[in-house]
Amino acid sequence: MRRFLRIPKIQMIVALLFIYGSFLIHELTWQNLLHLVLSIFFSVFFDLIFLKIKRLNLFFPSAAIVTGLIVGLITPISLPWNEIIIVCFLASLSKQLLRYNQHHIFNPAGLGVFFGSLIFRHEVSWQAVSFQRPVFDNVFLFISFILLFFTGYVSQLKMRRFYNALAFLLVYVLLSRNLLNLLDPTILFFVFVMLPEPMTTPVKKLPQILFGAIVAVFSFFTAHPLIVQTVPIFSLVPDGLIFALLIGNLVFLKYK
Amino acid sequence: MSNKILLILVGAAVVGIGAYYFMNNQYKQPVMNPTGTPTIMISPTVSQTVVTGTLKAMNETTVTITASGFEPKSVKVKVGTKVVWVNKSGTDVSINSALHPSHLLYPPLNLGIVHNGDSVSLVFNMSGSYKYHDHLDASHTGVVVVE
Repeated sequence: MRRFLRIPKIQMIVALLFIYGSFLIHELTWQNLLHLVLSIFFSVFFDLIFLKIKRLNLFFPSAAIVTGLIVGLITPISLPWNEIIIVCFLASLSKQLLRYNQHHIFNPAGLGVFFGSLIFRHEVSWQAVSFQRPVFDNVFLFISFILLFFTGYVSQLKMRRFYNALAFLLVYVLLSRNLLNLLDPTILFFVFVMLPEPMTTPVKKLPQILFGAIVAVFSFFTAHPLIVQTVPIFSLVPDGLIFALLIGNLVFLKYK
Repeated sequence: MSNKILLILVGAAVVGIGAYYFMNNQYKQPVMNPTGTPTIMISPTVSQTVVTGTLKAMNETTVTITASGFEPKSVKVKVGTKVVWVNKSGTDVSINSALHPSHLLYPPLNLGIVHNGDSVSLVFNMSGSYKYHDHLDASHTGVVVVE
């Protein structure tokens, strides 16, 4: 059991469950719980289906559970169950079809959520990772905020993706001219959980730095009114962070 | 080859950031101060003129912030209308422009934290569609369509 809990993916699952747990305490409804259950279930379901189709040995679907947790955390709670299914299906399908050198190219949760949002015209709400705040007059919000850093412990130290996070934060804060972005729960979740996905991001230091910087630049420009008005198609982008992440995955697909 | 590509990317990023700051100085959008007085600034390379003026709100529309979000979620108003957000949700909200979390599409809509029972307002003097959300619960979204 101890050895099992030392696996970084399992630690990430535990950390994400704690974050969702804090969200459930913040807004305790059966819908919130069902949303998470459906996201995890269908993410695992499609992963196992694809393993069966490819006649591969079944294994503990830790990656699918992480994907399902991310989908549950960042998609709107009001999302109909059929849209959750499509998002999870797209996430799993991208892992199977969009591959380079035996690795999938794109962050699965990111791709599923992005194209699900495009198809069904719903927002990427980041609902369960937007309420946390570093405030001292509300212990619950403060503890919820601190929980975000557990995912950082796993991704930055265990998975050794420190440089892409640092580069992203520096460039993003420089462009936005807002130091408070360093304390934004959505930014922190993105940086600690989605940005450093080990299968789709560089391993070495310099490519990590460039990856983080380029994702920051794209995420900022994609949401900038100057760009949106100059290139109207960018107004269709449902989320700048995820769009930039997918671009980064594609640009750096040879640097794993 | 890999080092060349990385150098090209770094160079592109530097050029891109430089171009952004240069273009940002060329581009100015009307900025609303909290009282709704529009200040239109023209780029220094075109003219040194700064035009200010006060426009009285012709109409006023109220959006109520409840525990389930903005009501109504979408409002259609005429140019010059003042939109008032009244927080009756029981908790703090933070009204911010789309997209979450960069809030760049229309900075005057970054009205910030609104405590329960308080209200904020903004006069919309340009036609367009202005999406916003509660930054503290980004699933709560709204849009002001100005005609």
